[in-house]
Amino acid sequence: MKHHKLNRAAFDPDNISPEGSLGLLALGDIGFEAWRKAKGHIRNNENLIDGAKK
Amino acid sequence: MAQKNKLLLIGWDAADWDIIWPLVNAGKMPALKSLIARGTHGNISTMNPPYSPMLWTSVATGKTPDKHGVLGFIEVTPEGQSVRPVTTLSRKTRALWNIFHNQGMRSNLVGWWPSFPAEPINGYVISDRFQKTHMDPRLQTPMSPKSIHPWDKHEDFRGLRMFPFEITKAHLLPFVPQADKVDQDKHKGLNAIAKIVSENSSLHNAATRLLRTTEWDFMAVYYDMIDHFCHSFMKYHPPKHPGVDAQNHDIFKEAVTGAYLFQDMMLERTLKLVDDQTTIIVMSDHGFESGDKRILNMPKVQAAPSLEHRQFGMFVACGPNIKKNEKVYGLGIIDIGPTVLHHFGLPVGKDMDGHVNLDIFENPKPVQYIDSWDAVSGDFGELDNTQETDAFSDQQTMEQLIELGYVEKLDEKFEVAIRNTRIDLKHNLARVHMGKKDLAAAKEILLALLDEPQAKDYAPFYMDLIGISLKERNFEAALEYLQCVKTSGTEVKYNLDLTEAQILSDIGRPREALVLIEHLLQTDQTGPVWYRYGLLHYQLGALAQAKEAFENAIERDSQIPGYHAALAEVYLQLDDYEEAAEYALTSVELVKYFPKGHLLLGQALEKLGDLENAKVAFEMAAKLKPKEFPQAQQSIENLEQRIDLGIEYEDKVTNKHYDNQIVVVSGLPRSGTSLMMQMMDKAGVVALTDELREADVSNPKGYYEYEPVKALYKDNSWLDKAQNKSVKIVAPLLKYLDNKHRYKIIFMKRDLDEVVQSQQKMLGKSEATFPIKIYNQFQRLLASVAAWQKLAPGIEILYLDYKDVVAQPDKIAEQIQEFVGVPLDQEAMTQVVDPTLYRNKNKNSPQA
Repeated sequence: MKHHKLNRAAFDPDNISPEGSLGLLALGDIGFEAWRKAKGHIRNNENLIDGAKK
Repeated sequence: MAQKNKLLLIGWDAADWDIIWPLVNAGKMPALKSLIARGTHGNISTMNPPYSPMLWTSVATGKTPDKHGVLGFIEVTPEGQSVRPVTTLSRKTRALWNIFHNQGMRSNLVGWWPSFPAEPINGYVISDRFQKTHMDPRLQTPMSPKSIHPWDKHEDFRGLRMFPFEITKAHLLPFVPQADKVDQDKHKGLNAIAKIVSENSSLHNAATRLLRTTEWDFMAVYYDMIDHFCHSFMKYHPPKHPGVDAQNHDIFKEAVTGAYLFQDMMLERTLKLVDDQTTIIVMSDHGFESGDKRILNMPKVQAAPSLEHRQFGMFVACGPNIKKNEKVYGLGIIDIGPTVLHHFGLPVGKDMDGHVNLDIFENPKPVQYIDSWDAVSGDFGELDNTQETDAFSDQQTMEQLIELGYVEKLDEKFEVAIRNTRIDLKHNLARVHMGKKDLAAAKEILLALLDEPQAKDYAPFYMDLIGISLKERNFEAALEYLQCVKTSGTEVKYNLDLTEAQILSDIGRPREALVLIEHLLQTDQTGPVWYRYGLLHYQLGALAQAKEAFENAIERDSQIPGYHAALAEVYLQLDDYEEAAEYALTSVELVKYFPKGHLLLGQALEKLGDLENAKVAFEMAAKLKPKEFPQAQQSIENLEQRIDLGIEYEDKVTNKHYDNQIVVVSGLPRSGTSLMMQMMDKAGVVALTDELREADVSNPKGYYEYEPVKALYKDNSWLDKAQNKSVKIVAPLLKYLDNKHRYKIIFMKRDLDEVVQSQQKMLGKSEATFPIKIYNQFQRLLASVAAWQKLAPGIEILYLDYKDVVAQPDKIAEQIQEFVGVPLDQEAMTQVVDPTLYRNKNKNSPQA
């Protein structure tokens, strides 16, 4: 398994993975909300794709 | 209100320098490192018992739990029908934010323990219930209306709560890189991390939101992440604990470090949201054992996990009026409240137990006082305590406290849970009184607890009563309580050998105690055991062994000031004053309010010839007004004489008369003490005697004894009666003299062979058999008297040889007058001496 580190990556709202990171959580409200938003977008997109397939 | 003097108080529960320093030095905690570099840092001492809700309430009020009312993790509801986690309503006194509210200031409070139900203050309260949610994603956790103030803003914060089920691999792996190896049916570690990280993230989200969007003067944010990680994973933290299995150690060994690093990342973000005019304090309420004292199997006592809490937490402060790159000493968590009030220029309540720590301020100002903030009328943003409170029961918090082990799983019968809680809270109150050295109040509660018909375990009460009895020097009671613990059937494995050794040592049976400790050391080589081993050797005059034992204790735990002070004392006896000064200095660096450490430092510096600094050390010891106060004062007096008069005296003999001095005639039994008492009496120094023991053939002119002397080891209060008189005290009891007096000790020496022979004769034993054991004991006793006197500033000793007294009484009388410092009737003294009474001469002595 990949060894994850606690990184202090700069906040990049356009490049957030649905997995998130401790770096994002450490940013507090902004990081957390951006992550939730990104998760939501991705989930919506997946639902849309799933819907289209059906 | 203008916000030029803002203060942000950040609580990191259980953060400990022992873990922090290696990380800071490796550059892994850059945010904290920047605060340390720009501010003041040091240890902060906790209080007894070290239970977090009590401690954080003391931080916020400057008062001890007996005054603020938060006495544990849970409490019985006002109706007495149930138990619940402690609430704001448990607090009986005003907190900082209430005072600020009254003063028109704005405060933000996040996660403070306890802060639910939220108080209606100027500002925001995100209470300690805000972040509590269900582990199960299928269950809803609505926010309680009382968990946020002002409630009409709750929608702004609702979306900031993170749920444990939102935690992903990316969040877990930094703490547990081998998370895939965890058998989650057997080990709940990953669940624990999900809960801890999500809850602390929720609080951090709320804090950052408030920092970004609100105006405030005072803000306090509390995180329990480090504490909860330590309770779950410290046992796996390096170095590997021998009792932990290798696989789990390997899997979870980075968890605690991860918590500190994540906490520092959050701090980094926080620091970016405040300006450089804001004063920042980061502090913990206690430390956490990370060495030998880690506990693998928690005993079944209330709040057992707190046994892993360490006396010292961490403190860092930084701001415009905070000293830069300095270390602060002697800070206690109780001092934070008054210090914060002082920072804002507000008066400190005289009813507060803490003090303003002026040492941290660049430009300290005089402290202002008010009788009590509780006596001030007006709006303090408080709750109405009469409101209905059943709604405050909180399942999530209770479950978490149970999971962490702070609270036992509640008995199905609620009356049992209520009874146990009530008893635990009373016991906690007794321990608070013990911490405040109010032994009478503690004892009263503990004795009442012994009368509780259905307490689940009485042993903890007996253990505390042993501690109190030892402090009161009531050894019979201590032994009795020890026996009660042994027969109580408790499941808790107390270190009774250590306790018994202490009792034996205190009642003058150090050799028996030593046997116990030597046996104990075969299985337990922790600091307290080595320390006791050292004390016993010191008591027996075995300095080399004492030194080695104290060194071992320090190696196990370098943060205990008593260990360093003990080693300093040994070095003083060994005449190695530089080492003595070094260890004494370390002891007072750990705790400023440690009078004995200052006293030892002064003694070492005096011996090194640094009289100026020695005086400073003695003055500090005196200022702290402890039991060592008289010794410190006497040391200052001695030092001033030495400086002013240029006296270079050996054995501290000044020939000065002190007001109310006590002349003690001492020596081994049968060394001529009765003769000397008679001489002093005739000389004009009245003998304190009750004449209960009549003259006999061994002492035809009487014994000059005073019955209470025999019990001096447990009661020395009668010594007041001996002022300006003479009293006979045999050598083994000298160490029990009350150090508040000045003593002139006339110590009678006599050929040891003669002493032993004389005693044999007096006891009707054969003089032909020489008791070598007694002879050796006497020799050790004489050495121990010399060692004791060396560190007792109020003691001066004149050693006189019995045969010289008999042979040249006139010369001796003159010598005594000079020593006592007042004119004596020397002629009357000499007439007392009757050479015919000098029997039992050593046949081998040249003068025999």
